[in-house]
Amino acid sequence: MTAHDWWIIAPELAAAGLAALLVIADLALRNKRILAELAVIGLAAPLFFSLNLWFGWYGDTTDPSALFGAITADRFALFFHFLLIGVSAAVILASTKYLERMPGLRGEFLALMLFSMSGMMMLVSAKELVAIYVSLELTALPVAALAAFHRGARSVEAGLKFLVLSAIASALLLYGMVYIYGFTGSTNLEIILQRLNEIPSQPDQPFGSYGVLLGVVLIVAGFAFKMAVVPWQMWVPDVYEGSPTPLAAFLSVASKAAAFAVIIRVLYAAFGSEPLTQDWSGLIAALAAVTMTVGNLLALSQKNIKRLLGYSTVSQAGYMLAGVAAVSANSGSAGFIAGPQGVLYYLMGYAFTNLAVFLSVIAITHRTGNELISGLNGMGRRSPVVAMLLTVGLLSLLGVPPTVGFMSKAFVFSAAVNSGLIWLAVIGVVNTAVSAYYYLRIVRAMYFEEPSSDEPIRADLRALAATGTAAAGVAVFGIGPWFLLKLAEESLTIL
Amino acid sequence: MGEPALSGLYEVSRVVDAAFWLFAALAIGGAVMVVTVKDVFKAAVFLAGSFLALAAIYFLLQAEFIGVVQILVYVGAVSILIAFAVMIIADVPGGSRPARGRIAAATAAALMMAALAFTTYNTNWTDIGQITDEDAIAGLVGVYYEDTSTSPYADAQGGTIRAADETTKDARSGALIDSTGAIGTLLIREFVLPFEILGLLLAAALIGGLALMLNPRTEDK
Amino acid sequence: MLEDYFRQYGLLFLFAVIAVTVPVGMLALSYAASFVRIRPTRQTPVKRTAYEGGMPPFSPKPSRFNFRYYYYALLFVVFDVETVFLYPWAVRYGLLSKQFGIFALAAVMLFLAVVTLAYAYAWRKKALEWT
Repeated sequence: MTAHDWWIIAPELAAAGLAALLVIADLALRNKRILAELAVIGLAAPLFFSLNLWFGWYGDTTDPSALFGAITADRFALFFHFLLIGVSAAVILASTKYLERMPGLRGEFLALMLFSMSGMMMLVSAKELVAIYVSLELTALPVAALAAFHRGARSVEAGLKFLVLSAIASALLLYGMVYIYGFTGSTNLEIILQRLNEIPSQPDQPFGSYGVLLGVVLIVAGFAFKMAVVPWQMWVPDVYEGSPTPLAAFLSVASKAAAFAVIIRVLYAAFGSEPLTQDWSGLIAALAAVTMTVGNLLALSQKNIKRLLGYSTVSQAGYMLAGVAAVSANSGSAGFIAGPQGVLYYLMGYAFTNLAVFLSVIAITHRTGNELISGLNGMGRRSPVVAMLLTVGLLSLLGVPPTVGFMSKAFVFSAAVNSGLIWLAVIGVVNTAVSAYYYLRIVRAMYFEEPSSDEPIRADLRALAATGTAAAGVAVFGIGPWFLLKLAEESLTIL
Repeated sequence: MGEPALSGLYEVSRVVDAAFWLFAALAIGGAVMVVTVKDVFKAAVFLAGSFLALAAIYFLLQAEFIGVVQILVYVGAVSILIAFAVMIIADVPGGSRPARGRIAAATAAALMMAALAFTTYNTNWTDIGQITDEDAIAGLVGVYYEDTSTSPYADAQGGTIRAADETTKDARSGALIDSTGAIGTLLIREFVLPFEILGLLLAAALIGGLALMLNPRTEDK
Repeated sequence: MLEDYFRQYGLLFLFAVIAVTVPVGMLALSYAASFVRIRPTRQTPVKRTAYEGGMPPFSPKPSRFNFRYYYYALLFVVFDVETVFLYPWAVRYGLLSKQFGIFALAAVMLFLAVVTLAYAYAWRKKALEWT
């Protein structure tokens, strides 16, 4: 360990340290109310260290790799650090009121969430398969415990389902990694790329060799669980319905972003050589088409708002995958990063959008205790501010201009067209049209249905601030996408 | 080494082969019993037996440390955990009824198995050996092929590198490899990050598990 | 080489053979003895109980265990896994401390500190107490 190593891993170290600090504070302090404040303020530390690495204030950051190439602090990782820290802060802010429902477990809830977040931060910056696997487990295990925190039958089912399915997904991922390690003799992504270029490929076998084919397929299958991609979508609605709503928000945004980050890094860094990209591009494109269609069709008939949002995140994952698949044939050209750039922009916009939606749903259902769509009837009158924020979020999920959702879809689909996946873009557009039915149904319920009571609902101020910020982001980055696009482009200089 | 050593090796490998098939049969047979037997406790015992047979296979593959871990953690600890869970179950003798959809599950497992077997047989693994042999052995005995003059540990490294080089020579000539020690080296070098993450993972798992079991109302006092 | 590797397990193999032969041999011998009428077989209900000289069992079904045992099982498994990772490090510590100096110790201490934190949590939340 040199000073250089310490600076590089400082963001992850600070995040893990914050989680540990929360455990200690929970044990030492009598007043548990300040734990949430402590968590949000403490997030400044990983944020500071990430900013430091981005701008290069302190320490020598010319070489972003550290710890024998196991971890990197390149812009791609830092981009996701910002996203993860922001999302975690917003979710914690918005859930302080919600946490009062479980008085004895407030510290545990926050600590486990931060443990999961530190796992995600390591996941997006890990450059080596073993580190990727272990940090993936660190993101999943706390979430499985958190999902069961309500301890009702639904909640325990959610936790158990998540735990078992994530174990199966991990097993698949490990199998895939084993084949790749066996074929290339290394777990480091850069060395894998190098070896794959050296080893003569066999023209009669897909991916140059059956070993690589199975390895890639299984690795993608393992990450697909985290991204909630079909056929791994079945846990999503159950877990979203049974688990605490702040956790569902955290899962749908942070967990998904981390999974997309790691799959982009693995595919582009380890399997980014020329003929191979075209091979997995087809695989991902097929996954994308199936995922957006299945997610949409299942969302149509949902009555529970959390289940509906669960299926909505599935179809959103399908749109994002279209961007991952959009890798153009010539890696040197500017078009090479258009797909990932679209995905990064999409993920950032999606974070704002989905947070706005989830946090407004938390604000309302926390008061009414009714999670059916009909429970939102007349919210336009009962709680006009939250209803408006929710509407902004839903319109962005649908992809109505000038929201950020529209711009992201435009970027992702145009990248798909440019790399020859016209059929995928068409399926995406058709799916967007179908999704209007269920997104607008919620809007209709809020503004055109009669409420069961006229009692106004007043939201918690902190929650409102977090929701408002998210909704403002939806509008601002939709109208002026250049800042985010520039950020995404800079983050992709590694590819 | 000459003829006698080679023929001796051949004898050993025949015994190893026979032992492998024996333990493989035990492991698979045990696993099959786990899913078919009705009594939950018996299923747990068969699972422990299957773990044990697997540990024997690890020893045959010269992965001693993994074999020890398998016995210590899986046979020793995980089986205990399962046994405790069994004690909490109400209907132990008939609790493990055949599940719905077991045909689909069996088909999926068979397909997975077929895919793995097909790939393992049809992949051209030999090419890799030529490229990675040096590195594979280096990884096993813990040689680090970085230019030592630029390494942060350059001042302390001379002695170690020499010792490691000798081990490499031994490994290539077929002497015993200290695989446990090699893992120890890797744990605080190439894999120091996963190692520390594992600490976090264990802590998070323990806190999460306990938080679910503790009574939220009484525990605040 | 390969021979040497298996030779070091020769004693272990012998031990395993004896460990299996003795109990199996006893049972087989006892079974064989019943054919030459050295061992009479007269079953009585008392003989069929698990502990012939002990208390008569009063519950037909094995009773359910207290849920509390699970705490200890969980704590034990985590401790077990923790130990497993210390073992290879301890085997190589002499070499590692020369090569990496204090870092060889610090890396493991950090690992231990993090896991110990979880034990402190278990202790403070009274998971170790039987109440």
